[in-house]
Amino acid sequence: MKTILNVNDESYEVEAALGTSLCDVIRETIGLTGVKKGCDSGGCGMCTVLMDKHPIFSCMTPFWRAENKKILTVEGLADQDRLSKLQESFVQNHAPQCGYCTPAMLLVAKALLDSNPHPTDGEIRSALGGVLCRCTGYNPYVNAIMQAAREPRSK
Amino acid sequence: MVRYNPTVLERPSSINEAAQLLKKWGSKARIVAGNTTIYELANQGGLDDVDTVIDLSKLNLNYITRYDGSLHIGAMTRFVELASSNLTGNDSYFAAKEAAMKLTPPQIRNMATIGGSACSGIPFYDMPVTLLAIDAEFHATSSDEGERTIKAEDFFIDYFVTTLRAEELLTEIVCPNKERSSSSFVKLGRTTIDFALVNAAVNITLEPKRNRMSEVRIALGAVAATPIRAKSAEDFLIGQEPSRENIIKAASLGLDFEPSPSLHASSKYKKRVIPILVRDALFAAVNRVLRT
Repeated sequence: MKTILNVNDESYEVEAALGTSLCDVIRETIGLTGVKKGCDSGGCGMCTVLMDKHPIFSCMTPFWRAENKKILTVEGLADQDRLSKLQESFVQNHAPQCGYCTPAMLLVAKALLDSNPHPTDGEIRSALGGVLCRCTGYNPYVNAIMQAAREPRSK
Repeated sequence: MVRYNPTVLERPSSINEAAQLLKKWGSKARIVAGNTTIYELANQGGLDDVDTVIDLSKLNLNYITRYDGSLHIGAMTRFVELASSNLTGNDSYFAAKEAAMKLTPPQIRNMATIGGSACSGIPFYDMPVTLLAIDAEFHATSSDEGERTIKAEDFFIDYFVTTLRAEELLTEIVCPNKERSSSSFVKLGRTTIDFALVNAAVNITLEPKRNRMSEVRIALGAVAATPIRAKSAEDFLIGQEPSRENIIKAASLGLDFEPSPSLHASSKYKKRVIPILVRDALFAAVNRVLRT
């Protein structure tokens, strides 16, 4: 099936078999490999993308479900070479360790802060609940999001 | 090995059209709601014979409305919408919102639908047991026989099997309103994002003028091939006051059969935790009724 997907405000014409997940299409067809593939069954959260601003598992979503929606991946967060406030805060707090879960963490954090600019510690932890960090480095992520929430945001 | 390789995508724009497509394709077709169960089912070889997917997202079945006091949930309503709905503890069907709020992670709440959760026929999911407790009715339609209404008791048949025929489509779930009534949902999982080891939902209704229970529904999930009611405990409570002693006694009655073991919870373990879950669910529901 052929269709057009809007990813990070760019249109991509893609063609894939009907059973193909959005995750595979973004990674393999479009070539944006910031979206990671972990368990491929909705258990780890690595494949999280924002669809119309809400976090979803792209490994569980058929790519054609993203038609007429806006998809955001980690590649869409920075403004050219300038990192977003959230990304800067992740760097300053040494939040990423191996980095594999970082794209998903950034996206769930962005969705949280866009809908709730001043979340509590509990709200942050709930939002991160669907993304596993196998380095178990959750606290630096929480701190980074707290810091980003305190600072005036440009993006 | 993934053998799921559908070749036809149908996107009906009306319920009638969807029903006709289901009749045309029969068991060769599979309805896609939130898609959260489809790929896993395919990985297990459960969709080898499926070559058509029917996407219901154009049917406008995403709604939550109340009329005549009853709650009407469109089959394509997602958990996130039910979780943020205006239901309160005064509503006899409040447990539906509670179960939706407790479903984690948030990504799944943003994808999974209430209808899909029911139609999956998976006995450890949180919504089937809740819908059984709150006495929900399922509205289904087919092109040959039109609409029919199915009580929750009759909807779930076996693992992965509901009473819906291949050509039938679930359109709406209706939860009846009851005066002086509330409900609750509780779940025990290994972690909060895991499936339930055991889950329970209850709905209690008090008599109009005195604090005695006229109706009690206690449903348990992940203990049998379908969500199932704990009749002995229900019978014990009917006509009784919703006191702490009565609730603890009723909860200790548990199930009338051995709960089925699962990978992470033996039958013996489930028998020990069921009374605790039932007790907590009853306490919560009773508190909600008496508070109002």
